[in-house]
Formats: sequence, C-alpha cells, structure tokens
Amino acid sequence: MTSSNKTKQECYVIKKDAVKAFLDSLSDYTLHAPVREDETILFKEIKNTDDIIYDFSNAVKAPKDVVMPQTETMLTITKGGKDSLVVEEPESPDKSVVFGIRPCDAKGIALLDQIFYEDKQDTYYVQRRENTTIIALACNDPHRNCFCTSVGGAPNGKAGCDLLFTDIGDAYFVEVVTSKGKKLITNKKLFKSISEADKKAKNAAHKEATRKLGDALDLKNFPEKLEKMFGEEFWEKYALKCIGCGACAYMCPTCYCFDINDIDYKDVVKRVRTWDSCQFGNYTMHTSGHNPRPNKVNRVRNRVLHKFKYHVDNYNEIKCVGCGRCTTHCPVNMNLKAIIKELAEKEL
Amino acid sequence: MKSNPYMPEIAVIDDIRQETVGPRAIKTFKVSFKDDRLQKGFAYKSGQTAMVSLFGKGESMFCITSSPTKKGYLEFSVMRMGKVTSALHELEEGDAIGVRGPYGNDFPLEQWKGKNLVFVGGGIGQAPLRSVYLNVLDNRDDYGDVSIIYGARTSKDLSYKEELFDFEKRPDVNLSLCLDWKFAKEGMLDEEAEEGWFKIDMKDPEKTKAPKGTTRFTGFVPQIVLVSKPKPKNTIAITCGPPIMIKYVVENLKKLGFSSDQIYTTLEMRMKCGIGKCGRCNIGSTYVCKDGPVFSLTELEKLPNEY
Ligand SMILES: Cc1cc2nc3c(=O)[nH]c(=O)nc-3n(C[C@H](O)[C@H](O)[C@H](O)COP(=O)(O)OP(=O)(O)OC[C@H]3O[C@@H](n4cnc5c(N)ncnc54)[C@H](O)[C@@H]3O)c2cc1C
Ligand code: FES
Repeated sequence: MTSSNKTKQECYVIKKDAVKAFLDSLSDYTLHAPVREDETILFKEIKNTDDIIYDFSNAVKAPKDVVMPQTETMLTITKGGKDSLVVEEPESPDKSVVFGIRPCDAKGIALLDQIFYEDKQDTYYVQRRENTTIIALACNDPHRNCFCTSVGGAPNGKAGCDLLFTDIGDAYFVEVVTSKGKKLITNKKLFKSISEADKKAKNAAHKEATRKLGDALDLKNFPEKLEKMFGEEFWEKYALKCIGCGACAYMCPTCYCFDINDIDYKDVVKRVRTWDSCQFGNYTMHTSGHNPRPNKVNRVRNRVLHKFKYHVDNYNEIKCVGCGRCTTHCPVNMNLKAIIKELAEKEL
Repeated sequence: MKSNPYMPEIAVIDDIRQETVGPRAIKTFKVSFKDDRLQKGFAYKSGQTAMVSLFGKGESMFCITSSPTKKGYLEFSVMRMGKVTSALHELEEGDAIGVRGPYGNDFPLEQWKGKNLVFVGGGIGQAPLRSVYLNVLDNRDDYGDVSIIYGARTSKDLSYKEELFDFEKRPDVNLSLCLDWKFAKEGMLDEEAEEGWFKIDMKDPEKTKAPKGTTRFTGFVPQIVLVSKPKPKNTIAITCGPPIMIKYVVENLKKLGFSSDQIYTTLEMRMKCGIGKCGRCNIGSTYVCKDGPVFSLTELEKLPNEY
C-alpha cells in the first residue's frame, strides 16, 4: 500500500510546457489521463499526450476502473473430459500511471485499499494497485457539488497520491508523496528546485480552493449519532424519491461492491466480475425469495450507513470523499450532502 | 498469481447420497481434492463454509457438513434451489467441481468442553449442525449430555436418516426426531400421523407424556423443545433451520430459562466472494461471510434486523 512507504517531503517545480515531455518519458507505463470528448471529460488510456487536458473541474467518472475495472475476467476455465478442467488466471496487469486524478478520487483509491488489502488480499486489485502510480492534480476550482472538506479531505489532500501537482500559474508545484512517486522524478532538467515564491503560490492556491468550497459540515459525532437513527422514519423521505437505478454507486469513487458470474462458451468458461450496487433489490435476495433488505428504505439506508457508519466502525474513516458525483448524476436530484447535513443537524 | 483467494481447487465427487426427494430435494456430496496434498492441507472447523464451483453455472456457498475429525474428504448437503444447486444435482460420481475455502468462523467447541449440548435443527438447517455433533461424538468424553432435536415435514423429508436411526440406539445421545403435524383444514390439526410417530400434546407440549425412550414424535420442532425440556444449567443450544422455526425455538428455549449467550445459530446471506470483499452479506458493519456465519444470540441481538 502506498501509504506505508512515505518519504521525507521532497518538492519540485515543473514548467507547464515541460509536462508533456515528462509524460512522454513514461513510455514504460500505460498512461491514463483526462481528455475531452464532445463536452465530456473522461479518463482514457492516452496514446498521444497532446490529447490530455489540464483545465477542468473533474472527470465525469473517477478513474477507479484503473484499479477496479467495471468488468474483468477472473478465471478462464477450459473443460476437457469428465474430471479434467484447466483453470487459468489472467496475465499480470501492465504498469500504469494515472495523471490528473483529483485528490478526492485518489483518496477514493486509498479507501478501496482498506478493503482489498485486508485479510485475504484480493490479488486482482492488489496487482493492479501495486503497478499503478498516481499523479494527482490539486483542485483549484471545485465543482458546485463538492464537499471534500466535510468528509476529511482537502483540495490538496495527499491520501492515495504518489505525486501531487498544484497549478501555480506557469508551472506546477510537485510534492513527492511516496517512494513510488519519487521513482518518476528522474529528469532533473524538467523537475527544478523550488523557490519561496513557488511555495507561497502553492499555499495560496490551496487556500483559495478551500475557500471556494465554503464551510465544512461538522460530522465529528455523526457516525455515533447514526447509531440512533436506524429507524425507518429517518429514511422514508429519501427512499420514496429513490428509483433504485444505482447511478450513485456507479459514479462513486469509493463504492466497490461486485458480482461474480460465469459465462459459458461451451468449451471455455469465463468467470467474470462486474460492479454491482446495494441499491438493487436482487443484490441481497436469496433464492428462496427471502430478502434481508426488501425495500428501498432498507437499501438507501444501507448505502448512507455503509459510508458514514459501518465503514467508520471497521476502518475509522468515512467512506465518502465528497466528490459530489452521486448528487450531480442522480436522476431524481438526491443530494447526499444535503441529506447528511439534515441528518447531522436533526434533533433527536 | 500469488495465492489468489478466488482460485477454486479441483475436487472430485466420490459419492452422492440422495437424502430427500421432491422439488426441493437434498443430496449429500462426498468430495475429495484431486491433489492429495490439498486434501491434507484443507483444515476446517465445524461451522465453516466453502464456496463450491460448477464451472459454467457459477458458485454457491455451502456449510461443510462433514466433521473435521474425519480426514480425507468433505461433505456438502445441497438443497436443489436455483441455477447452481440444480446443476449440482445433475452431477454423477467422478465428476469434477471446484472448491475454495474454508471460510468464516466456527462454533466455539473448545469453550464448550464439559458442557451439555442441545442441537435443534429443521430441514436443510441440519447440515451445519451435523458437522458439530459428529465432531462432538468423535470426542464424546469431552462433553456432557448431547441432545439432538431434528424435524422435517414427513419421514421422507428426513436427511441423514441412517445415521440418525443409528443414534436412536446410542445411550449417549438423546435423540428426538419430529415430523410436522399436518393441517387438515385451516387451523385444524390432522389427526392422522405416520405410524410409530408419537403425537405430542400440541396445546400444552410440556404435559406430553411419551413413553420413556421415545425418539419419534409428531408435532413441530419448537414444541419438541418443550417436550424434551433440556435444562439450561451448563448447557449450550445450537439451532439452525427456517427463520420461523428459529424464532419459536429461541422463544421456547428462553421459556425454559436459556439466556442469549447460551444460544447459537448460523446465518445465511446471499454471498459471492466469501471473503469480505464483494460487500453483499453485511448486517450493519458485520460481514456474515468472514465475521460469521456462527453467532451467539447475544451477538445477533446487537445487529440491525436485516437478515
Ligand atoms: C453461509 C451459507 C451456508 C449455506 N449452506 C448451505 C447448505 O449447507 N446447503 C444448501 O443447500 N444451501 C446452503 N446455503 C444456501 C445456498 O448457498 C443457496 O441455496 C445457493 O447459493 C443458491 O444458488 P443457486 O444457483 O441454486 O440459486 P440461484 O437463485 O440461481 O442463485 C444464483 C446465485 O445467487 C447466489 N445466492 C442465491 N441465493 C443464495 C443464498 N440463499 N445464499 C447464498 N447465496 C445465494 C449465489 O451466488 C448463486 O450462485 C448456504 C448459504 C450460505 C450463505
Ligand atoms: S460474500 Fe462478499 S462480502 Fe461477504
């Protein structure tokens, strides 16, 4: 895990017109970075670094799929005779760099690490994660639905980052967060030593971004408070609105639930996993028809409690990074921040 | 890939026992790993589960119903339910399946040494209990009285028949088999009972006067608990079966003076990964696949009612 190999804070500056040369030099890696397609900003595998955009609020989807693809083949099984089966695993993933991820989404990956590294390591995730280096771009212009500072994040948060870039005008201020990140700083012609003025400009940029986010919610005692708010009366109002489409989960940088299914191609079987969501009724449905979370009220409550209570119970951290995508993309205008605020301020 | 937890190992079906018939038939599969070293290395405890693969159909979680005291094989009892379980029922001896595990926690048998044990099972819920009582009977001197209450709809629906009929002859097992009363019409008990199965007093089960040594009853499992009247002192009750049965069994055990920390059960949730990653088996912050499936009632009472 990246957090375990912190190095002493080391900083550089890189001129904006030198970034292309830096990214081009990473030819050993598959590069993922934001591009603009029509009016949509997406993370894509980059063939030509000219396609990369630097001026954006955030991508429609977090680049979570670099470490946890939406669909992946876990096993390929070739059937021979009666008791002859060959079970094969996919090849090791390529080494990759994610450039331009926002600190919220990088923190999302750090939160996924907690699940997938724990106990029996999820080898598919872990291999991808080990082979991925994350270069984040601090936020200067948060989206209207952003609330990272309410959930323990910051526009310049370092969780999950290997390098953190901050836009300081004609250059980026580069903070080396891990030894994995440091490995990319090889060309000292591109990465120059910092001046006091650079440092000041970086701090000013962070301060300004934080200011734009407005006041943070006070969620200090919220997880404990939620313990007392399990009753359906607290959740009915929100559940009534929900259409159970699962968009919130698919857009979320920290949602990680998945389904496993076999696809039978006669002689060959592929065991595939795909993203899933606790907002779907089938998710918990037993074959007998019994369903422990039969209604939307159970499912909406589960999603909020998982993020703001259950994960806190298990890992002592809120499992939401405040990127606001669930709110931006909800077809019925559910606003997670507003729900949290309302619940946190409710008199019991 | 280094130690991939999703990698099933190939096991071969050595024997299939048809336990019950009908649309929800139960078969017990005795399997062993193709690789002998794997078989020896597969160390499990009573109460643990394993993910069984039928390639092309998928995976399903089953409790391991054999006892770890018996080496060289594993047993799963499978009720025909949906895609995977129906396809498993079509398999024959010699066919290969995949197995990964063992998963989850186990019944605290070490802690229970010296105590009396009461097993109360219904239907396929007997499968997890079986691993425990077979284990206990192989270490008979370590435990006090052993009582087994097990119910099914009719005598045709009893699993593990031969084994249980053998227990009828054992002086160190206090067995009560139970067939359901049938309803003649709404609210009315059918007076017909299978021959040789003693009818309990349904109005006041505790007043039932069965001849000493009776092991075959007609009634309902929760009522048999009242007929059998296990004493709570130094006793642990372990129950598994349909939710409605568990509910009344617990109620009646409490009536007899059992406290929540003397009652254990094992839970079922829909599962995919079995190792706490896929997210779907949570009850609050507890994951049944890794923190369970075995819970004391004291533990369950602290969890949200979403199971
Ligand atoms: C801890 C545990 C122990 C179990 N022990 C036994 C046992 O000893 N004997 C037995 O007959 N059954 C047992 N079950 C239930 C068994 O796993 C389901 O009946 C079985 O998965 C149904 O699969 P299917 O493909 O036939 O049904 P389908 O409805 O076609 O299921 C499709 C998929 O859904 C999932 N699924 C559906 N229902 C369940 C369920 N109730 N529990 C878990 N996953 C489900 C499975 O991943 C399955 O592959 C146990 C379940 C759990 C969780
Ligand atoms: S079965 Fe996947 S988390 Fe429990």
